[in-house]
Amino acid sequence: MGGTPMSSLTRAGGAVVNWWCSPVPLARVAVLRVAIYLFVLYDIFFLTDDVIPMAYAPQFYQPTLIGRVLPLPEPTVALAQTLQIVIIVAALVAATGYLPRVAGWTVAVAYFEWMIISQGYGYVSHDHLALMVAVAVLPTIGRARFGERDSSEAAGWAFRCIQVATIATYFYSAVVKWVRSGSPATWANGAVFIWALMRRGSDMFRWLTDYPWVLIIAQWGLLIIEFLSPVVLFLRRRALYAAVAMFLGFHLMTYLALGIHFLPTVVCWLAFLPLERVVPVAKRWYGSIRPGSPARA
Amino acid sequence: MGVSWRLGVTLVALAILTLGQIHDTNDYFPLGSLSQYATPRDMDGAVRSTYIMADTVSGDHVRVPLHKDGVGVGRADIESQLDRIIDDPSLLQGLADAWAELHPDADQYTAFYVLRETTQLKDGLKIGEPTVEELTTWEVRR
Repeated sequence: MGGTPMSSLTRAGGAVVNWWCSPVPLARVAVLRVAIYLFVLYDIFFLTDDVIPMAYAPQFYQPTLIGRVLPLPEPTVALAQTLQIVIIVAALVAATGYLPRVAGWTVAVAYFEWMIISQGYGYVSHDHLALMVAVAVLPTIGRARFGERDSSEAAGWAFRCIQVATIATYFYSAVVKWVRSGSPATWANGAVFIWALMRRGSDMFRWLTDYPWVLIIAQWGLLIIEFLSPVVLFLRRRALYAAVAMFLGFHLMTYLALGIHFLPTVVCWLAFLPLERVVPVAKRWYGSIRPGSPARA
Repeated sequence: MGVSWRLGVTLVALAILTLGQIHDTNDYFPLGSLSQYATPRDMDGAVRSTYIMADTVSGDHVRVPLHKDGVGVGRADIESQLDRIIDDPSLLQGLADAWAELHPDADQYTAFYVLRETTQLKDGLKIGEPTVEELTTWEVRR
C-alpha cells in the first residue's frame, strides 16, 4: 500500500506493543492478585512443602543454574522456616492490595529463593513457569482497587506476560517433545502414556494399558492441542471460555489418571477471564451476610 | 518502568525460555525446558521404575516412602540422581539421617536396597512378569 519498508516495520512494532500492553481493568488486577498470592501460600504449604523435609538430606541438593551462580545460602531448616514466615506475611499483605510494590517484591524474592531450593534436588517440575512469572510481574502494576473502573497498560503488560507463560507451558512442551524425539510422530506413536500409566496410573485409568491404540489417539490429541495452544491468546468470549475449559478438563483427566494436577498452571488460567465481574457479586454477598445491612428479600 | 523496559525484559525472558527448549535443559529454571513426559517411549521397549527397599531395626523389610511425608526426597529426585547414587551409595546415608530426624519415633533403617523393576513391552502390551534388579545397596551407619 505504498508504505516504505521502514514504516511497515514501525507499524508491525506498534501492533506488537499494542498487543502486549492493551489495557486491563484494575479491578481485574485486584481479583487476580488475591488468587495468586493466596495460591502461593497453598503452594508452599501443600505442593512445594518438601523444602523443609528435604533440608534434612543436604547431600542431594544439586541446585540449578541460578542457585549455583548467585551466592544464595545453602538450604537449612532454619532458612526454609524463615522464608515461610516472610512469604506468609508478605503474601497476605500483597493479596489485600496494600503496599502492592513493597509486599509484592518481597513475595517475589522470597518465593523465588523457596522455589530454587524446592527444585534443587534433581527433579525439576514443570508446572510453575506461569505462577513464577505472575509473582514476578504483579508488583510492577502498582495500586489497583476492587472498586476501580479504570484500566491500565501496565496491568495489560503483566496480564499478557502471565497469559503467554501459561500458553508457553503447553506450546513449549510440544516443542521439547519434537526436539527430544526427532519428530513429533515418534513421540505420538510411542508408549509414553502406557509408560506413565504403568508407573503411576490410578485404578480408574490403568486398564487403558490394554488398549495401546486408544492411548496413541490420546497422544496425538494432546500434541495437536499443545501445538495449537497459542491460538488461545487471540480468542474472545465464548471461544476463549471453551478453550480454557478444555485445558482445565485435560488437567482434571491427568489428575484422575496419574495424580498430576498442575495446579500452579491452572490458577494462572484466571488471567484469561473477566475477573472484575466477581466484584459486584462478592459485594452483594458480603452485604447480605453482614448483620444490620438492609437484607434483600 | 517504561514500555521499552517491559518489552525488553519480556524479549530476554522469552529468548532464554526458547533456548531452554532447544538445549532441552532444566538448568535454566524457572525458564528451563518444559519436558514433562517429553521422552519418547518405544512400543517394544521396557518400562522401568526405581524404588528403594530397606531393612529396619525391628527386622522388617519395607518400601522406603520416597515422598515429602516420608524421607523428604521424592522418587523423581532419586531417579534423576540415580547415576550419582550408584557411583557413591553413601549418599543413601542421607535418607536414613533424614528419616531419623523427621520421624524419630518410627522404625529406623539399617540397610537400603535400590531396586529397578523392568516390564517388557511388545506392541505396547506388557509381556511376562516384571523383573527386578538390584542397582546398589548401603549399610546405614549409626
